Amino acid sequence: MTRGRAVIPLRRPDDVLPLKPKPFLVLLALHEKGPLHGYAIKKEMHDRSEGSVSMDPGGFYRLVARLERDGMLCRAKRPPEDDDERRQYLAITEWGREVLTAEATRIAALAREPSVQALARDAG
Amino acid sequence: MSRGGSGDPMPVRLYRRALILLPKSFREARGEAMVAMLADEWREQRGLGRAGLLTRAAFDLLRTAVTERARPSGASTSGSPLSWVDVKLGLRLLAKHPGMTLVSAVGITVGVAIGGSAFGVINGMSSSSLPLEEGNRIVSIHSSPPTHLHDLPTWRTEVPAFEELGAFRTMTRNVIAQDGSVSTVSIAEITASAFRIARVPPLMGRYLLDADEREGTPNVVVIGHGLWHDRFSADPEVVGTSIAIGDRQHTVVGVMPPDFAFPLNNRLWTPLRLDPSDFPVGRAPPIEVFGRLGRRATRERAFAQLVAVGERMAAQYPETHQGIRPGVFPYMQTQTFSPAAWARYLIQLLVSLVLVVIAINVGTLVYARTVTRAGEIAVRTALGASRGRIVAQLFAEAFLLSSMASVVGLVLASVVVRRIELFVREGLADPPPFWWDFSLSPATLAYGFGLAVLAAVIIGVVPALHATGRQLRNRLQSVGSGASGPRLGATWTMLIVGQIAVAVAVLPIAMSGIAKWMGSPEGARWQHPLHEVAVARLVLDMEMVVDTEARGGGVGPLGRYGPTLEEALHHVRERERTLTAEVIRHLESRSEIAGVALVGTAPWEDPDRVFEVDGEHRGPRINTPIESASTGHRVGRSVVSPEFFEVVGLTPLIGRLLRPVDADVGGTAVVNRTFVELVLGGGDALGRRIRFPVRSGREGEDTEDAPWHTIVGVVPDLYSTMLANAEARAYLPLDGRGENASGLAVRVRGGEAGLFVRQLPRMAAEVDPMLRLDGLTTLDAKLRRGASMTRLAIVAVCVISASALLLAIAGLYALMSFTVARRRREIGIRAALGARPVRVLRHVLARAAWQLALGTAVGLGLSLGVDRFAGGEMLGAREALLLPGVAGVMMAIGVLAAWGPARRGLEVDPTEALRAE
Repeated sequence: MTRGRAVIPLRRPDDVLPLKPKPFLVLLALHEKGPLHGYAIKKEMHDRSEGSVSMDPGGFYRLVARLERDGMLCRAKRPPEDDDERRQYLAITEWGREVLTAEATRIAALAREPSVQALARDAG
Repeated sequence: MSRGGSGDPMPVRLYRRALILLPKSFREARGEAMVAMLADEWREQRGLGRAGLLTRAAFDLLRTAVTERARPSGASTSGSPLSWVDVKLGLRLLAKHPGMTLVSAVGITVGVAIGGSAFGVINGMSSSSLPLEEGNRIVSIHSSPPTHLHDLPTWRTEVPAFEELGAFRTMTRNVIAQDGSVSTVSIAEITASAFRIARVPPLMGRYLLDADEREGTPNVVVIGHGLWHDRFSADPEVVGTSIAIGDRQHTVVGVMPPDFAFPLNNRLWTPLRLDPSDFPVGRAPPIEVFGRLGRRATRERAFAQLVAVGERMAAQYPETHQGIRPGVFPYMQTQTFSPAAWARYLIQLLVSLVLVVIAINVGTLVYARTVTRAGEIAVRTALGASRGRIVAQLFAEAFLLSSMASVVGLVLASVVVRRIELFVREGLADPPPFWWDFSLSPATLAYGFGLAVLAAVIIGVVPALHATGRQLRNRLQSVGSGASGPRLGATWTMLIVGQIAVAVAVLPIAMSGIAKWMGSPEGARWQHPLHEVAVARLVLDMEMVVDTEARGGGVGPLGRYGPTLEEALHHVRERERTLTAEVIRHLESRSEIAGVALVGTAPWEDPDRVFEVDGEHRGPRINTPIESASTGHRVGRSVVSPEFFEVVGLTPLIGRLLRPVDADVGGTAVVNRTFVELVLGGGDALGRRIRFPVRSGREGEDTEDAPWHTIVGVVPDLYSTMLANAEARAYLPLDGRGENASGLAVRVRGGEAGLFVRQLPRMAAEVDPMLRLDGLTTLDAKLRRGASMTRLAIVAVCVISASALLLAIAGLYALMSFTVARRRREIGIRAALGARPVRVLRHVLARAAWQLALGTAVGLGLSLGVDRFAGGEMLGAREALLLPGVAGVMMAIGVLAAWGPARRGLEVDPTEALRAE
């Protein structure tokens, strides 16, 4: 389940920050919901971004391939109740979780900035 | 058994096949998962959503294929077939055959230009989202029958899917600035909420507020950036000043930023002040309702909520709301012409087929060359190159060519699209909606790229697969012996015959169109100085639009003009008549005006009419449709005042013109020369009678009330159209009672009417601020505008025909020289065995001549068939002479192409030829 962890020696999560919105949403979905297949992740991303993020199969799996290479994702076992054997289930790795947590902390810190809050208030 | 794709719908299965474009490693690792993802989404989409999904998925797949192949790691290790060496080899090969490269590039350029133009125009007119913040959330609500005004308050409170709802209606009015200058402006009467929905803040001042909508509050207006610049010289103090819209003063409260033209293409916004309680349900003036969907709402959810509200109202007010069905639509779809998605895809598919046909033609050329490279391919195979590797190299060559040609094609397309845009903008009565965008969009670029790939597949991959197929083994064995490769049989004969047939069939028809254009007067040489004539239609704006719905229920919005509908209409008509007379008096008093005529139906705006000529009934039905295949001419009917002829400069050829007395008595007509020639066969016209039956729509009642008109004179043709001869036309006297005579034709003394045209709106507004001039322009500008699109179409036909001819000639030359070159060895052997050169040549050329003759015959048959099918309209007698000309050219090229290789065959050393065998 976590073979991606081993290939990232001696790297700190801060080295790969900031994450772009799409990888962030993928990791967030997998972190919260556990292993999911491609279309389920896509729907999660769509809902969490209130419709502003949409991905097509090629773009999605290019992103997945990159995250896998970076060790943040790995393949997971297909649950027995899913009978579509073509679906690829993905799970977040420990390293992925560390990166996600670091990114979430960064965003939260940014959101607490008084000037950011003032801007948001002005925008209504 | 698990699901594994066997139950997938056809588009998903096609997508799966298209995965072949991906590099092998990526395809194996992700391909099936991509298909599963698409299949999952397909199941959840319906209708147009599926079409959009597929289009996106196709582009996404192409992008993935390109990105993954371009990725340095993996590309080489995964055995990706494309490499930089292929590109270099391709470039070298293109340079080696410059003639062929040029011909192929021209063909593909034309194909991409056609496809790109169509895509650009269609895409420009039908964007998927309004160019406003989160514009895709702005939607329209339409119910049928419309009860929008009465339902709006209920929808506002009971449909939570909408963040906000708004409404508008548009009207055109005179806007009179403080300096007295008058401009005709499209105004939106709109709810204040519209500005919140559009989310565009004002540049200066404020936008409309809800309080402005209340009756009795001061009249306020928000003006657009363009108007502020043009009419107020960008005065920074404009807020607080007043302008007159029609006969009412309004205070300017704000200026909107540039490019803001919501809801359609408006430059002035006034509050919508319509109180539903003033109108019976179902009889209120029509308004357009729109809204912004909430962050988490969808169109489907909004629709479901609207239906629920509708059902409740139908139960509550059965007499007015029974059977009313509301719908929620994408905003642009309801506001303007926007072709349905399926129609857009169909048109695009058909247009793309042009490129496919061209690419097949180019592919033929490439195949001929590829076959000559059979030896090289065989050697490379023997040295260990896989079939995929060789196909990829040939694809790279083709892709280089097609992508370069596509770039040029797209540049051409952008020029063409701009021309079409100009024409469309000029041709529309109202300015086009603000979301039309004809610039070269990323989607058009992606489409052009797609066409380049498609062309490369057709011209590169298909011939390559053929050339590396079954026969490769045999060729491998014969490489050492120097034998020539595959034999060419019926396929090549068919290609040659087809090539000639298409050229012979299509070109004369295209050229006949061009010849007609060249021979026609083409606007520049009008017989009369039409630039001295200004034309317009006088419109008396009423405070509210006359609403036909109101007719059944009483006076409705006309109430202001009279207590009953009849009286109100009578009042309005009388007022129009008085004002028109006043405008004419005003104009005639000016020294620069040479003449003013009133026009009921103008020659330049008249549709074709059903007509009868006394004693000339054709066929069993009395009213022969004007444009019939048997006569091919059209008859227009113009209703004009007697002064019209003088204003446009028509003098009688025979008989007399219409006189004021004709207007009182009626029953007379003047016809033009073409009418006499086409309808009366050049015979005596004076004294003949014509009439134009009014279609009642009921069989048998068509002609009862139409009066007869006796022809009293013949005048020259006013103008000729570009592609047809002048149309037959009859001028009837305007009696001032029947038809609404709102058209004006004004001749300006000895000069350009263009300058005078600018003063006319002010002149009319001085008579009455509600009096507006619609479609004001000079007559020649009006007629030229109609001609400009035809000219563009003809230029396009010329370019397409020329490239078709070029391709046909190149294709024929390549095929003929190639097939004869195949027989060089045979020719050499014949010569070695003692055959006389003349005899050998005759033998070779006889076969070529036979193919050429067959192709020409098929082409001639096709051309005449098409002409007959079109009722003799496609080819004139003169143009038919082109047929043998084109046939002769094709024959000559064919013989020329066969001659060279045949001569070279004779020069082969006989001993060498024999040894090779």
